[in-house]
Amino acid sequence: MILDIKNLSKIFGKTCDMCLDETGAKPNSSICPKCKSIVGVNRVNLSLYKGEVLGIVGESGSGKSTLLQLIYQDVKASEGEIFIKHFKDKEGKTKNILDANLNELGDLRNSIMSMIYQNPRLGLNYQFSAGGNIAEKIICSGVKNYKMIRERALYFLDKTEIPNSRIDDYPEYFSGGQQQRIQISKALSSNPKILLLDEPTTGLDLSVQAKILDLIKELQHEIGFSMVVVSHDLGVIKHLTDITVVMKNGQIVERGLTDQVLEDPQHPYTQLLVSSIL
Amino acid sequence: MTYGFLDEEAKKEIRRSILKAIAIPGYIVSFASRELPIARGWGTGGLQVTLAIINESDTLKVIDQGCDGSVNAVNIRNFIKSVTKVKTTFSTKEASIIQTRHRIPEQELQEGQILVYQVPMPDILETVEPNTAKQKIMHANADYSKLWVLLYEDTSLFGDSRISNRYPVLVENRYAMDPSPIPKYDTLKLNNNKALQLFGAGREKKIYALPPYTKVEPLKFEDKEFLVENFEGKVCKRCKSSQSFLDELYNDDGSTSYYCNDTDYCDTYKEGKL
Amino acid sequence: MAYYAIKGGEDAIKNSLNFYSQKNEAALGIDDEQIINGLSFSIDKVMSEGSLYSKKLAAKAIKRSAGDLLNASFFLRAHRSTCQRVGSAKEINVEDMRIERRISSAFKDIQGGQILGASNDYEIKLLLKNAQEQVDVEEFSSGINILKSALSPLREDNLIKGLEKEKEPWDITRIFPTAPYPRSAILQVMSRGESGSLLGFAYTSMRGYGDVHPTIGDLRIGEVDIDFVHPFTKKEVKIGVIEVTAVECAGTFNKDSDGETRLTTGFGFCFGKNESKAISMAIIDLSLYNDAYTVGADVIVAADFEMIMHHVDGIESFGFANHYKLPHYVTFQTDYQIFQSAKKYAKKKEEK
Repeated sequence: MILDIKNLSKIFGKTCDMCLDETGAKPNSSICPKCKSIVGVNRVNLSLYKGEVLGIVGESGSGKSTLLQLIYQDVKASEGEIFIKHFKDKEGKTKNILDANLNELGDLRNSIMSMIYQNPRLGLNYQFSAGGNIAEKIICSGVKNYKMIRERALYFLDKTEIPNSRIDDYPEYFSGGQQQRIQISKALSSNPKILLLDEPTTGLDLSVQAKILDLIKELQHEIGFSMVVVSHDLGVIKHLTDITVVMKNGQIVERGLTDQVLEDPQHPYTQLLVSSIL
Repeated sequence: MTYGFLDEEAKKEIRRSILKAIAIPGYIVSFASRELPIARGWGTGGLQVTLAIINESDTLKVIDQGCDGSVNAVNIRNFIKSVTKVKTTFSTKEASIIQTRHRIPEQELQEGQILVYQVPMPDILETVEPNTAKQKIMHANADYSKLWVLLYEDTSLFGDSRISNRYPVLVENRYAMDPSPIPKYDTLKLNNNKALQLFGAGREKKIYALPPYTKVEPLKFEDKEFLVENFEGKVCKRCKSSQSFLDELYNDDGSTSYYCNDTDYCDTYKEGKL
Repeated sequence: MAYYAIKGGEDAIKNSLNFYSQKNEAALGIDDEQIINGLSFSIDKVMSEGSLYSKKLAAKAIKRSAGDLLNASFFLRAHRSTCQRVGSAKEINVEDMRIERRISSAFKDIQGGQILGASNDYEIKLLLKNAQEQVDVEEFSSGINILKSALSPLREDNLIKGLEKEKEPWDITRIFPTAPYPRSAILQVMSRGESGSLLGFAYTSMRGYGDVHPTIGDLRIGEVDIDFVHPFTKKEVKIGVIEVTAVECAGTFNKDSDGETRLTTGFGFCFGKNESKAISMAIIDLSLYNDAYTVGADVIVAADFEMIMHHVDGIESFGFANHYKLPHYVTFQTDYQIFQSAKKYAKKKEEK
């Protein structure tokens, strides 16, 4: 098991003892009736194995993006544990990544995991060149050799079909689709074990979407990292993932092989989702 | 007036800050910097460090840009003399405390000597992140990625870092440190130095230190050479040395001459006493 | 709770002014010449910010303001509005200045030498001095020094980045420009700007929100002639002499318009002796027109045209800051009512 999530929750607001019980899929609400806090993620349990691609699907507000942010620790969890195979304490036992100190957090976010955001503005630094952005990730993973850094950056730009001659250009001089591809290069350049993708193609036009999805799939097969893909687009999930979980009001309501979940949904909510595909 | 101008409480606090700084090489310690009769930006940090540690048995040397006779050095030396009656010297060898601005003396320092640097900006991260709160978190995290990316961008565009003086160094593989605006030529002298090196920034209210024999390396890519200022083919007009950092002077007739920047070195070399 | 609106009586204002002038009597009793000769830096600051070169008027304004120099500048600006525009004087070249003081931090020694002049730079600020030191000084030279800028060797070698020259300089006192602002307009705004405001903005640049540590190439103080073409005889005549401060600073290097890499520079200039102001102005000019060497700051205040153009004039900021003292009870009533209804609404929502 490469990623193990146990009872993970995130509550926005005052919080009280009733928040987690009184919200969720059955009550059909994410708002605590007592204290009005918003329960973004409600006691989620999830595991991921090496080389697996997991899809998380659900409508806006279901908590899927929040879940990803909790894993990457952009947002601090309210409770729960997350274990990653490569993250161990001094004695060699796997440690709850939510207890990581600042230095360990850097290691987690720079070497072990990478995140690709829906909006490249969140994943890229617009004051660095395209090459500089990728260099940052490579340097943070421990490489201090200029030639290696430059070659690695060129390699990944090549893989994402960005012309090598543009390595020193700044992100704002690229199109949205290209910026997304630079983000992908950056995320992969540190050889992460786990790649997190938050709506990676939403907002891009269809031809670009298709290209990027194919690229991600190809790289995943080639390099073999595990992936968690969040999307409200079932087409993306179908294309990329092996396993799918469906989220509603912060809880997982269904899980299984992607094909099964999409072709033979059991939970009424999943059935509703699947049937609404145009 | 009290000995050393500052009151005893002020001096005690500065000494405590200095001790903390020495205990954590390269780490920036805040201190309650006092205003002095010399303007902020003109050496009040170095001055406060010197005044806090100096005593009757010391011998003081003060240089500015390598020169004992430079106006600011003269000013500071006279001021310290007037509030301590301490012995002063132009000789690097004889001094127990050397207060300096922008240069490390050419002659190697010995155990027991203290080099006090005047520092304008104590935090090297200020060149890539001016927000002091963010700087502190970056230091805590040993997150110097922005410095490295800057180095990468410069190397891609110009073949080498654009930083001319004040080149960032890494202390004991942990803290990135600002060596003060010394030329790259001097940066290599910080490493494993026999003397105690103290850094005072008065306006920014910070002290940091390098105890003797500390590992200090310039922040650079492993596969790139650390290039320093080049004086190939140039010789000091006065003492004929080709081994020192040279000043370029324009003569009235339009020609240029070169002289040792470190005046004591030039004197000593000329007298054949090196 | 009831609010009593206060009627500002004309009498109250008259009495207040009378009270003020009584308190100010001692100032008015000072001889103009004493201020001109004794408080020369105050005179220079007021002339510069008042945008009017007249030491006598500046002295009067300082007296009327009991030493409040910004208020004195305000007097001068107001007086300026009463003066008729006769014409424009000939352009001054700061290299024609009769140098009283000229230093260059960029070089150890330069053609013409480092002339420290009369300066308190190296004065030890001990308020209560124990003993006066006896120093042997040389006689001050009375020779006339006319010197090129210390950066001119670099300029002659085409190493300095040039900026586009405008056909005609703008005049901000006639039409205030809209963006994009001509450089002459920004320099005018800064030259008559408030010294402290300029210092503040320049300081942000020095501390990392910008280029960081420019070098002063040439700082000079001296006298320069004002030449004017006589409207009737059409002959050029010298109509006066003014004392000015000029600073040229060097920054990092940028790509010029022809693709060559060149050294960037900034220029500062003001009436009278005011080194801090001229240095600050040069640094801001440098920041505005050149790319800084940094990947750090998102916001570089000193490089923001809007920031500089609208926020350094002392008379404007001083006036507006103090206008808050005018009665605002009507506007405050309206604020208060909005506050009350919003509070009521929030409470109602809570209770629901």
